[in-house]
Amino acid sequence: MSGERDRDRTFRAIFRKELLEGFVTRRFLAVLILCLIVFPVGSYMSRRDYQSRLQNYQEAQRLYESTKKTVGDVLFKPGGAKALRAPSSLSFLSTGLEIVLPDAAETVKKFNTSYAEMRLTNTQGLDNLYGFFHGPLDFSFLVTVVMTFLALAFSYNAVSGEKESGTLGLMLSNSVLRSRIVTAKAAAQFLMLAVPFLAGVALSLALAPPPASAAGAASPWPAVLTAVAFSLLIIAVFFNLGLLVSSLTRQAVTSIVVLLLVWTALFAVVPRLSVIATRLLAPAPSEQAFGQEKIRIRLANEKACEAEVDALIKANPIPQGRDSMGPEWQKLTADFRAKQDAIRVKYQSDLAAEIGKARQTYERKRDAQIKTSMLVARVSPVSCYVRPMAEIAGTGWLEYKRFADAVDRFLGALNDKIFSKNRFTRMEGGANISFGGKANDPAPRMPDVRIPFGDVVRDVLPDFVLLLLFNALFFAGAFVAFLRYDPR
Amino acid sequence: MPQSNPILKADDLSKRYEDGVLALDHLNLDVRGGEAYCLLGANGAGKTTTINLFLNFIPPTTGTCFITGIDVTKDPLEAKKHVAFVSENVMLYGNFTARQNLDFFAKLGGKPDLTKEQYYQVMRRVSLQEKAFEQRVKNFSKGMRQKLGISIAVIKDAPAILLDEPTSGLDPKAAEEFLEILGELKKEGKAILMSTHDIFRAKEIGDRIGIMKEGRLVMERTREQLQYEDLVKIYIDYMKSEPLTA
Amino acid sequence: MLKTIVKKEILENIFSYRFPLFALICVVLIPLGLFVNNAQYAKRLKDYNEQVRLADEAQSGLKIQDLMAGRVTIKGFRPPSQLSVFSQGLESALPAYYQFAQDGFSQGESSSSDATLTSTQGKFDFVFLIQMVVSLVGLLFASDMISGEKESGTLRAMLSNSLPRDAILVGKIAGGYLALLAPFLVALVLGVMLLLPGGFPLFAGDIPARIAVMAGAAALFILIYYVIGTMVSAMSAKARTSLVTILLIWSGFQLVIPKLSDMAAALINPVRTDTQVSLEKSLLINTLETESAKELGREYDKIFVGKSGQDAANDQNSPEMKKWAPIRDEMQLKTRENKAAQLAAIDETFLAQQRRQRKLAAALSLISPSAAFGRLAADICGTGDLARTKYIEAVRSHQNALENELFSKVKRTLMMHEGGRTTMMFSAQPVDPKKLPKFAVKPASLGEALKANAASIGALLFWLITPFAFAYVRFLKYDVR
Repeated sequence: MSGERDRDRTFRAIFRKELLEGFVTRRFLAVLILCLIVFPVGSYMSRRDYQSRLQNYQEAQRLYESTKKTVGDVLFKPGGAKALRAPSSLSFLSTGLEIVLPDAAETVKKFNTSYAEMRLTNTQGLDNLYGFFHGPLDFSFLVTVVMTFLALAFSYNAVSGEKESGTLGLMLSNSVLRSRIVTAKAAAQFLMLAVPFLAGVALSLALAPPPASAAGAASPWPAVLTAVAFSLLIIAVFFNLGLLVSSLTRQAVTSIVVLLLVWTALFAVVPRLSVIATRLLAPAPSEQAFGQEKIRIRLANEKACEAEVDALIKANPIPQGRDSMGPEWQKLTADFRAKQDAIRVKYQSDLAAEIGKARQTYERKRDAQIKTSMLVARVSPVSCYVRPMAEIAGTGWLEYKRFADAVDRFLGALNDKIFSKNRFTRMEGGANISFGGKANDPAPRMPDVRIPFGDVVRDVLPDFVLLLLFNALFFAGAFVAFLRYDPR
Repeated sequence: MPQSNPILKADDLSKRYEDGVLALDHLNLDVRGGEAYCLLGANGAGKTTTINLFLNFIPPTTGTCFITGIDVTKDPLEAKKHVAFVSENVMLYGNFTARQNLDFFAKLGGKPDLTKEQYYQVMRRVSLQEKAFEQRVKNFSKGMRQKLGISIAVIKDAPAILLDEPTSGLDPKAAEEFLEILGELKKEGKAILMSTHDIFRAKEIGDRIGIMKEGRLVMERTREQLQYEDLVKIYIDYMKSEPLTA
Repeated sequence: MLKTIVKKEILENIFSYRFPLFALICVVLIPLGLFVNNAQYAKRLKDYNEQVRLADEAQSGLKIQDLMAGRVTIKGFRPPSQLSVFSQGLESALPAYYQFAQDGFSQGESSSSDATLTSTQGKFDFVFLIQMVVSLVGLLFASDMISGEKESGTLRAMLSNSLPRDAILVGKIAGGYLALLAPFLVALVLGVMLLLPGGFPLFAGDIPARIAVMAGAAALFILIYYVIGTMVSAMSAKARTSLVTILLIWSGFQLVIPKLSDMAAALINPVRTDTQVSLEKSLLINTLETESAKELGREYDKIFVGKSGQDAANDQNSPEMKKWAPIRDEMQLKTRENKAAQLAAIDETFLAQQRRQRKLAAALSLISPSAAFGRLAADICGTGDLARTKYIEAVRSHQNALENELFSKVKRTLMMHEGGRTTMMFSAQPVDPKKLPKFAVKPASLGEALKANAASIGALLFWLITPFAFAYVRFLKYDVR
């Protein structure tokens, strides 16, 4: 059909004109050079940062392992047992929560108990206070700031600019479908944006391939490719947004002012406002409040336990002094010990139950808050990108859960093998601590658990779909607006 | 009636731009009070450059411009007190009303104490519609904007008025009204220097007409002389003839 | 003449879309930010009070056995800063408390363990709004100040009058800036008033002075960006070029330079982590104690020999005991001093590293006026680097105080004897846990904060004067045609 052929021809003509314009005005070259510099440099800096963090971790791990080899080491040497979290090898993609995630867990145990708890600590924020102050410079940042700005710069005057220079009217005085014009423009401009971006990424990956994570872990490439796909989507979202605003405004200057304000809103204001909204919609007690609750429960439990032990001591006076060390005395002592053990075991299991309940309530509320915050934040496409990138890079909430779970398992092993064999018996005039385990056995080690990539994909899939929808929405809006755009 | 000393005087004025283009080549002209001088020429002939030199927007390569005897380059601020300017595309401040624009420029032009009624009077004089006085300028048509531009010149009451293609793009009626005002100003003794493409209007208002070609003033005719010659023919002949630069 | 131009500039801004838009942004976001942060502060204050209460309760129940077993940790909490409503700064990064034990002090969790997902995105304070939003708006409005008037021809119209160019420039900057400053101040006042019902102590201590200095710094910051925008406008012929340049400048100052400077500082002057240092310290302590225990054991065995030795050991007045006590005391003193010296050496190295890195990062970040303003604001509000320093100072002095009042009262003597036997002996002096010194952080005064930020203030002034000079020079030659 010659009509069809004509239309294809006009599409190609406009497409080519856009590309040519991009080359001749050196726009394309400028973006290409920018990407070829920015991404490798950013990647280099992130990589160095990761190396130094990895080194710190390995040294700390080595130090720990050299001092805490056996069960006896853990029990008797100061510091208890420690679990360290390795820095995520993909953190160059997105620093995410890396700075605030706990990087160590250590046992907290009182001398008069037969169990320990784990305290999660984070010293990274404190080591890198100003990194916290300003935020990190990672791939995700480069995309959300540099590439989205460029996307806006490419699309903001796509329509309003042509109108101002009069060429739009001229184009439309020919027999050419408006729909072809807008699709050809969009395709060409986006191509001139995507190609330099991919080139920059390829260069940075070639110069510094992603580090393989800890031994036995899967290849990093699925994560990297997913990250690149997400990045293209968010760049496209802003490109289409620019196209939309350009098709709604009469002057290029107005377009860019509106776009800059929208960008600031989406990048900075909406995510923060969504945090506030979340706290209102799904309040959850802070971790500190939960810690205080635990302390309260523990204090009460301890008081009651010691009170009962006091009563036991009063009721069972054991004769002191050497002359009474006969079998009678030994039987009394053994009885006494057994009774006290029974009391302590009872209070311990009570405590575990109470704290367990409190913990369940706390975690339920906290998880609800996290889910709400994810939902509310998705109003801004930027959040639909930033959060998934953190999960893909292993620096997000999934990583927190993984570490917390592994710590729980580690603690279970420690309690089983070491702390539960610790017996504390209080008597008149003193106390006796005895250890019924094997002090020279090797101490339990922190299990190495990885997040399966399938879990990550499941987690980020809704955001991926949302980004596709945002793209469709903005492009459709631009399309419709252009169909009615007044070229005069 | 024309007075004796020229209010506007260009003395051997030349301008060569950084890229080497000789935009003005030894221009000599003078305009007396009560006289209108029209500069005719093709685009790029040097008319706008001349006006820019009088306003000290660019420095001359050689030569001097005088406004009421003051050297424009040596004492620009003093010189500008005696000249009013109407540009080709009068944009002004779109979000202000006509009166607000007039008020601002009146103050800049050294007339801070005018009343609203006085502004209205001036705008009436230039035939601007009453209802436009308090309307925002960004909605004005080109004709209305030009009228506002001339009213700014009128209110400054300077002895010299420079106009850069003031009637371009105006419909015949608006152009006529504009020239009427210029005529009145001429009678009041102002010296008027106007650059234009419009041969017919130039003949109507101009006491003297200069034709510029490639930076040079190639011909000058007074109104009397033009009664016997066909300006149109002269103009077009000159435009068609060989380029002057060797 | 200047007054005319200033007035025109103000009116022009008010009648255009800019003023209502900017006013809306300020009046909505600034009070909102202040209100929300105040709510968070109230929560943190509540948490703090509760934690202090619980810790006091635990501390007053301190028994001598705890001390003897060496398992006493006393906590010192850092009160949240009242003015964190203006600048969050390091507030949530600093440790909520420090723990004091016989072996020294260590950090507690940082308060950011709360709201993990939200913390990195959560800063929505006044300083953030000024840095990110108001600055951008100021830049945008200034960007077509000159190139826009040139494009519309009004610049020519102005210059055809007897008007010196510098008057035009100064008038435009003054007028435009005043049109921005007014809604900003109104929004600030509104925001502060919104805080009053919640009990914000507006007139307590030096708070009014601090808020005034804060407002002044913010006003200066806005002026800086306005002048930079004007400079860009004076350097480009088209409004569009100005805008693109401004985009680059803004993102560079705001986002890229602060991060780059931190990263560069970390790369140039790397610092070991706190975890590493504490591990190293515990390794050292462990080694020293083992050595000392072995030595003590040997000396003990030399004196208390055989069964008569055992009897003598139980008798405080035996001649062996009298001989043993001074030896033991001397050895323990030596060990203590040795331990203290070596630990201090590790600390010093670590601190020196940190200091170097921080100084470098601070110096580099002065390249961005936004970073300079951020640091200054944080220190004024007591949530900046100075607050961290004061915190550590308080921690150190409290550790010393506790050493004298508490930890030195109990002597634990661990001895390792030939043959693998381990004994532990205690001697304790009475301690009244209620009489122990209380942990308190002395906040930095406003004068100290300003002095510490002399470089930042200097940077801000530099960023005001230099662009203005550039704009001035360029505008005098600006081609108005």
